[in-house]
Amino acid sequence: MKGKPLDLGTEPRLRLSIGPRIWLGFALVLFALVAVAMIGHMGQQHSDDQFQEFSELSAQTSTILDIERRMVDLQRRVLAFTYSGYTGIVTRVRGLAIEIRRQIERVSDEVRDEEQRRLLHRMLSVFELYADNFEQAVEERRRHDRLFEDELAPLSRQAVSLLDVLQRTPQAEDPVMAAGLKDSLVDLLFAHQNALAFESGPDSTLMQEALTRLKQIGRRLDGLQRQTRDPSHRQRIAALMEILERYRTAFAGMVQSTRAYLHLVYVVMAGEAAELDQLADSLKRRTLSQQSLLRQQMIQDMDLNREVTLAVSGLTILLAILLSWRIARGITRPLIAMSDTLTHISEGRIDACIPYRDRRDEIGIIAKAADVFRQAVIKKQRAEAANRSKSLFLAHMSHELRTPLNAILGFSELIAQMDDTPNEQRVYLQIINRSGSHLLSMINDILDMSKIEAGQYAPHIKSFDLWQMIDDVSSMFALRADQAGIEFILERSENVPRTIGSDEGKLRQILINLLGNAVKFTERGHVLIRVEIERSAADTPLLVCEVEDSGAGIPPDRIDSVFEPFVQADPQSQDGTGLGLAICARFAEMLGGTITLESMVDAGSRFRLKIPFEETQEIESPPGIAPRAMARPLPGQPAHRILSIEDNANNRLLLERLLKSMGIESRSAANGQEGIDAFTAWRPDLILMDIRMPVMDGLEATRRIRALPRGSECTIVAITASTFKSERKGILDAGFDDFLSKPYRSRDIQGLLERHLGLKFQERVDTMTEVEPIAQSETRPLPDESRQLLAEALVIGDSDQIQEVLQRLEPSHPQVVKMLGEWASDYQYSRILSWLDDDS
Amino acid sequence: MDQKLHSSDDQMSRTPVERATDTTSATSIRRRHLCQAIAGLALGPAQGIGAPYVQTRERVKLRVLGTHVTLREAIRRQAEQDLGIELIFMPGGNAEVLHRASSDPDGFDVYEQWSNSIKILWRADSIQAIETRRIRNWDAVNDLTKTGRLTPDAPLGRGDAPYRLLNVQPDGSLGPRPTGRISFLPYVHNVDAFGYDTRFVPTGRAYETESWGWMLEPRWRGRVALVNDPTIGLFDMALAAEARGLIEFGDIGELTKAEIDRLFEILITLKLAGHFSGFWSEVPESVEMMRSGRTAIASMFSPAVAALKESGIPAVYAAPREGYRAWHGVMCLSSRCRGRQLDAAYEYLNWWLSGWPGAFVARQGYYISVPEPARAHLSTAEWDYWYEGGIAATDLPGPDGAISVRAGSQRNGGSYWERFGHIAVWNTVMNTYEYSLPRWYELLLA
Repeated sequence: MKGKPLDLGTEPRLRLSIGPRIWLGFALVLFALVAVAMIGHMGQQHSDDQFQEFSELSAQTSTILDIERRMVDLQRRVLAFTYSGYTGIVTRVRGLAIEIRRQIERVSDEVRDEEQRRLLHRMLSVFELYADNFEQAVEERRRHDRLFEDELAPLSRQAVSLLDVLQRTPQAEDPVMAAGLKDSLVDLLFAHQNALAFESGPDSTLMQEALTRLKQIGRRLDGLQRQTRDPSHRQRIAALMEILERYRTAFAGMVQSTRAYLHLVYVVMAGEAAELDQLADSLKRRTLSQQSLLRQQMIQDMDLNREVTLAVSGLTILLAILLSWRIARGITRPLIAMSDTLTHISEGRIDACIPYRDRRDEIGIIAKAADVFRQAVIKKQRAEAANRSKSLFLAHMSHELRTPLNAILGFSELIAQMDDTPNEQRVYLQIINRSGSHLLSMINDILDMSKIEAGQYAPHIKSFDLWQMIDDVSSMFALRADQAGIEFILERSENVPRTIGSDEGKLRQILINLLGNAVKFTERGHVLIRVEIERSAADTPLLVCEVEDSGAGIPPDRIDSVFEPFVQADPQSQDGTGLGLAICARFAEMLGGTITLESMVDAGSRFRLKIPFEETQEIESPPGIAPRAMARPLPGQPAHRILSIEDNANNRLLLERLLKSMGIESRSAANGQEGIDAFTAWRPDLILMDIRMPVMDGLEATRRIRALPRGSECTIVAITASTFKSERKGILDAGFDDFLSKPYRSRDIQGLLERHLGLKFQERVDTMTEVEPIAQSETRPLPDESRQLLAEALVIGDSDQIQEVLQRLEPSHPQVVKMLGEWASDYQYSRILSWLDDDS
Repeated sequence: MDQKLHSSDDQMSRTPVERATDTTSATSIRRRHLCQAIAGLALGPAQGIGAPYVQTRERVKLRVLGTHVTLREAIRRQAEQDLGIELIFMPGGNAEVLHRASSDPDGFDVYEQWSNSIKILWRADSIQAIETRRIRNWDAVNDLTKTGRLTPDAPLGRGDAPYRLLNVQPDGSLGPRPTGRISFLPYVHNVDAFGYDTRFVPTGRAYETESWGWMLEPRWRGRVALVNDPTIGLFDMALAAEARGLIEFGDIGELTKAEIDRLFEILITLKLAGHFSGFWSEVPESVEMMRSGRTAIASMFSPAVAALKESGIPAVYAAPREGYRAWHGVMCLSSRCRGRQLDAAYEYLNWWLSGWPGAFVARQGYYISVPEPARAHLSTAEWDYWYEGGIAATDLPGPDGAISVRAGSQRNGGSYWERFGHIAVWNTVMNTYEYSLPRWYELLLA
């Protein structure tokens, strides 16, 4: 007990690896199948042998029956011969005998059974006796015929004629002699008659009578001879006696021959025939019983074979089921479990349990690999989480960046609008504004990139006017190129269709980015955009856009990294975020396409965009319309009180100033609680409420205001820098009537007041924006619903919804949509909102 | 044991109705004899001036035609030794030898067969009369052939009783009146009945319950065999039918055509009903039939029953109350036998009655017409068993010297004299013989 404990139970089970196990299992099943086949084959073989034997027995039976039949025929013919003595029958009998002997010999050679052979041997020997006896009978019959034909008949005639001669001799005049001769003649005639009768119907009495008569004649003639003196007469009588003696001998011989052949035929041969019959019968019975036994045996064997085959088949099926069960239990189920585990892991459920790690076969190896995979997934998840955190951080950062920028742009705009602002300062303000705009665009880039990385974009495939889009983009950059003093070339291939199905917005942005880059980094020479269609038989057609420039080019070692975020071709260049190409690459990828770059330093670069597109019906371009002129605030309208609740002092001030410049009475509060107090005290018509605030946030404040008397009559507009859709939706659900997206401009505020308070503004030129090149040809206003939707989308910065609304409007207002789309793709949401305000 | 079996077989094969056996050698023997017979016929006319007158100083060659019962090698050697002559045995089947003898007297010197062939041979002039004065033991020849009776009360027996055929009458016919000239020399004889297997047929009492009628008892249907010989089997059946009261004959030794028709009608009906299981031609056949169970009751000869007993079958040779069917052996001289041949033939005939041959045939179960000299060659136990019908005091040898009778056994039917006191009929060739042949054929193949 104190020794080393036995470790039998815990010893890891040595298991065959799956391959050999499956092989072994199938080998067993195969073996069983082969066994079934073998048993079947052997059974078949056995049956064939038995059938062969059965056929042989049948053939033997039929031969034996044939022998029996021939024997009967033979016996019949022998009997016929006995009556007729015809030689034709003899020939036939001999022929039959030969045939029968051959048949017996043949069957004798064929049979295997000892008893049958014995019977056949006996049959053959009896038959030999029979045949011999027949020959003897034939011989006797011939002897009988010869004696009768050649001896009896002529001798009787001779005797009669001799008697006749004797009766005419002088000695015959003697009465004794005459009477003797006469009696002798009578006896002779009687004897011959008896002989004839015996010949036709053998009977001992006839024979005896004939012999008695002949004996009487003999005695009488003997007496007569003694009486006669005349030597010639004596001689004649002696001759007669001799003839009669010969007659008697012939008759006795004939009788004996008759008896002999009759005995042979009726007794000896008949006995042999009976014995042959008996033997044939025994043989037949034996063969038939063998046949019957064999038939039973065959049935039994077939049953046995069937049972064995069934049993082995059943065993095989059981084995196969067992094997399937074993495979399912030992292989398939673990595999499914492993597959599920791997799926779980790949889906990120890294806490999924990995079974079978202690197994020593392939499953165990997979389990171990899964474990490794899980570690990798954990790492990847961590990396992704980090990336997501980064993206979120960037998104939040950009959001936070936009808030102060709002104040900068807003105030610079406000100051610039002031009449008393000196021109010099106005120029500075414009610089501030431009810088701010640039900063905003950079922040927008970062936001885009973050959104892409956070997976918030999806392609929107729609049919659109490709030509128009290319023309718009080209005309945009043609101007810039012209200003920069470089040549701008558009090459559009003949086969480019007017309309295609793709994501127009993203395609547009890609082209703008590429062209923007090209124009920016090209100091002299040209910028070229080449549009082609690449078709191959099988795949969907590809739209190929090449943007070529004669700029500085990109060194080979940097080519691969230009599409990575935050990388700039020229590290020295401080311009831009370096996100443009990364966004392009991501968008292209999103559309199922690629962007490649060929470049030579100091020679230029060529970007090649290839995206698949859907071929669509050509659409007709409707006539373009121009947006309406912007409105200005009008005097003589009812006074409205506006409360702005904003924690950021700058923004609070900006709002106050904006509203003041509009001549609208306003107050400010620094947080939610102050706001509620102000509401209670002052009763504003509209509240501009920041969401994120210290002490009490906008949501809580709004909820409380709504709960106050007349709190529901007041219009409360949320001000948020959040670009996240979910947050915005929550805002609307929280009791706000509207919201204003940061950074906002005076125009945004104008639109808000117009919408909610019914204020009218005078038209005026927005000094901060460029003059629209679009003609005022599109006179129809946008439908209110679409306008509202678009405004909401713009406010919350939902580019997807913006695109959606614009696409819906496109059939009726293509030019407007085109313009707004351009702005939207450039993230000039405020501008669009301003335009919408002016349009209404 | 082997020897004993041999002896039994030996006995069996020496039977009155022996014909060719089923063995190849027997067949060849048959063929040989057939050829001889044909040769003899072909030479017929030339034989008138043939052999009998040829005188030579060589040993006389005596040709003996007969059956296997008496033409045995042991006898031939003994006779040659005793007589200083050369013996040529020509054994054959009954019909064959009779035919050869009747048709060709030149083909043999001595003829040994059965009394029922005498009439034929005598009428055919194939045999010559034997002078009784030249038979040394003639006076010792018992009365069975002289008066027809061994004992005063014994019946004569129907049919051709040998005593009626023995003496050549002055008119050349054969009759009972002694004339000093006889047609045959009486020698071997016996009585026949039927045998039965006591495993099936209950044992009866001799001359009391045992009856020929048993053979036609319906309960043995399908187990009854007959001997295939109308001159023998017909009598067995006539006795059986009469015993069962199926028919009554005027003279069972001389059936009329009508009686034969009636008898065959009965037999064929039985045959068709499956009463008979076989017709045997040779003794071994009859043994095999009973041994194999094919028969329970059958026409049989005594050696067959002895063989069955020896092989363990409890067979009994019946002593029917109606009497036996008896047979008698005859020795005849060829009508052409002359001179030294005739002298030698007489010597051979005398030798047969001198004792040794009588003892020999006694061991086969047969009797000899001059028993006393034979007795000298038999032990007391043998004499008591074979002739007196007693219980065997010791094991007794067969003709070949091997044991054939176990001590303590006894023959059914009693002594020689008792047996011949119960003769119903003698084997006979009846006048209706020819008529019976087709009917027999009919029976065989029915």
